[in-house]
Amino acid sequence: MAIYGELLRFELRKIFRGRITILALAVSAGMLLGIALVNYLVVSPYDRGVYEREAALEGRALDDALLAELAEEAEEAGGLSGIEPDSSYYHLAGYISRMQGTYLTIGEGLESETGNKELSAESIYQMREDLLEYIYDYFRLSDADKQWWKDKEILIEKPFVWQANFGIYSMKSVFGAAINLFCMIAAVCLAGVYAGEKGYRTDSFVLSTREGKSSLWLVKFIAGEIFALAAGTLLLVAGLFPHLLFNGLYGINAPWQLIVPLCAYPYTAGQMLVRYILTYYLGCLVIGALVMLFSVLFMNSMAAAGMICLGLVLDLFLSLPPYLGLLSQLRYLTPAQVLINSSMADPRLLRIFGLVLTPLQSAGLVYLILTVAAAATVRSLYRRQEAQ
Amino acid sequence: MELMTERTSRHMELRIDRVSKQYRNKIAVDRLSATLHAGVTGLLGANGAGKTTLMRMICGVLTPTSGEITYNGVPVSEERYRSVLGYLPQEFGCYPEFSGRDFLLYFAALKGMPRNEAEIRSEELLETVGLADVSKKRVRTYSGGMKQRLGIAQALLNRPQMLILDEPTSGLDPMERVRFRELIGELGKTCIVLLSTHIVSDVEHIADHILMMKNGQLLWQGEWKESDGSLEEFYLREFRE
Repeated sequence: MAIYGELLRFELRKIFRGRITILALAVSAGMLLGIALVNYLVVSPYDRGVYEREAALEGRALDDALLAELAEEAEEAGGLSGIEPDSSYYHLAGYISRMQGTYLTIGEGLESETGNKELSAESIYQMREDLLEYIYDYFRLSDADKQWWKDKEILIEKPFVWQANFGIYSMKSVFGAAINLFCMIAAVCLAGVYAGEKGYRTDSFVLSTREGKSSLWLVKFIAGEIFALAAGTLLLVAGLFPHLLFNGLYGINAPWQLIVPLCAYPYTAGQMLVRYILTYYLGCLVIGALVMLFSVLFMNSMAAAGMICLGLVLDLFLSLPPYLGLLSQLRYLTPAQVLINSSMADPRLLRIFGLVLTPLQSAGLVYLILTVAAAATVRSLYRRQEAQ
Repeated sequence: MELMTERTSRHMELRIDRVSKQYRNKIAVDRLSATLHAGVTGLLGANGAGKTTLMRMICGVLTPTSGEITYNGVPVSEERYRSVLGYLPQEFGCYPEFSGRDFLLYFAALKGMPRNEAEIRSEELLETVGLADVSKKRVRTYSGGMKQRLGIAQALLNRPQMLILDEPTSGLDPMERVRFRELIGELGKTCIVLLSTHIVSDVEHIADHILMMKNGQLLWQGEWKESDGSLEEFYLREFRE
């Protein structure tokens, strides 16, 4: 075992001590840190006091009285979108817009589905329910799946109690950006895990040694996955740090509907963030595994990195409509899609062996299966390697 | 089969049995058979004769199209054979971020050597190949000759019973070439050394056995004694025909 520990130490050094690795990590972490800090320090000087002013709304139910105040503010500002950041109602206005489906991009004719946008408790809760129904239909949910979500919806307390959630909302947005940056880092830093031996022309040496052709594939794979977790952590911490610094964990006990209004997850923000973190790390593992698979398949770092970039582009532009069923459902389980910042959540459930899995759970399971499958394929391909 | 046990040179035997390697429409090695025993075997041949392909197959890093290679009856594709193998390829690189010492320690781990033993052996070999004073410098700062010496040290790490050296003296200055010829001669007393070169003088005085290859085939094999005359003249004559 000591030998494997020793080999792992060297493999980690190979990955971490490359100049490109250090540069890529520093630039990516710096970008996430900078973008998050800009929110607090640069964008609008008069924005800084808004959190204190918002505190006046803290703990108030989202009922007719509060919505009437918001309507008055909106009237003066020429609509919800006109409310300025220095208003106590700024974030509340943004939230209500999201709840009304203003930023929804799915389907056409949504306006007619959701009817008027009157600011009353009855109207906005009804509108949310109509929108959820519309989303379930759009994604072609079966009656059983719709009922499953409706049973969860019952567990959500209404009226919602307003709680400042800018920090949590911003934290949620970090995951999508971090996983996309991680893809690029993995492409740059892990593409050479196997292919690098050929690039350095050390493959003949390595393959002629006792462990070189037997267990080295696994040591390299583990080293790659350790790097994936470490790099993923660095990016996540860099992105979350400013939010934690300025907001702490404020709003962690708020219902998730205050962050993502158009979903029926009956969890608090804290419980959902834990799920996001787990999904993010599993996403890092599967991306790392896929990069290493391409590395051993092509034995060419550029080709392996290129495949990941191609995957990123496809993930950005490839649209598979819900009528394609499982194919469409699986396509939107990619880490960037699952962790994307949106006012709605993909409601498609996966039923396996009597278990009902939400998209976050399905994604986690798919990532685990893919990681194991990638490892098995790497083993098979690596052992067939020959010196050229 | 004695493979991992004590070093008993009389039991060392590498058998190459009708081995061929074909790449699409080119036959790199053509039905070649030979048996090697402890001592230095010189493998001579012009560029493109198939020496490197043959050596790679003997190392188990390239699979023959047909035929079989065994060491003491064990196929060279097996892990236990690689435990007793030392290999210096003709062309190789190094990890630029590693120091010379790290490079050897890494390969010691790949060869399954415990850390303590690896450290002692690495120091010893760095001394032998004259790299002790630069052992902590990064390999990317090494000259071609220094890298070649590091490669030789790597091949000797596990005290191999089967040592394959593909053009080991290329890139070395004349003094170093003489030193390494002597070192190889010493090693040949306790293990099988297969030394490939196209420079006849590299093997003339140290090889117990000579294999000559041309166009993938074995042109001549046998022992060469000083009383037989000049090996170089014989080599040139054979290759002209």
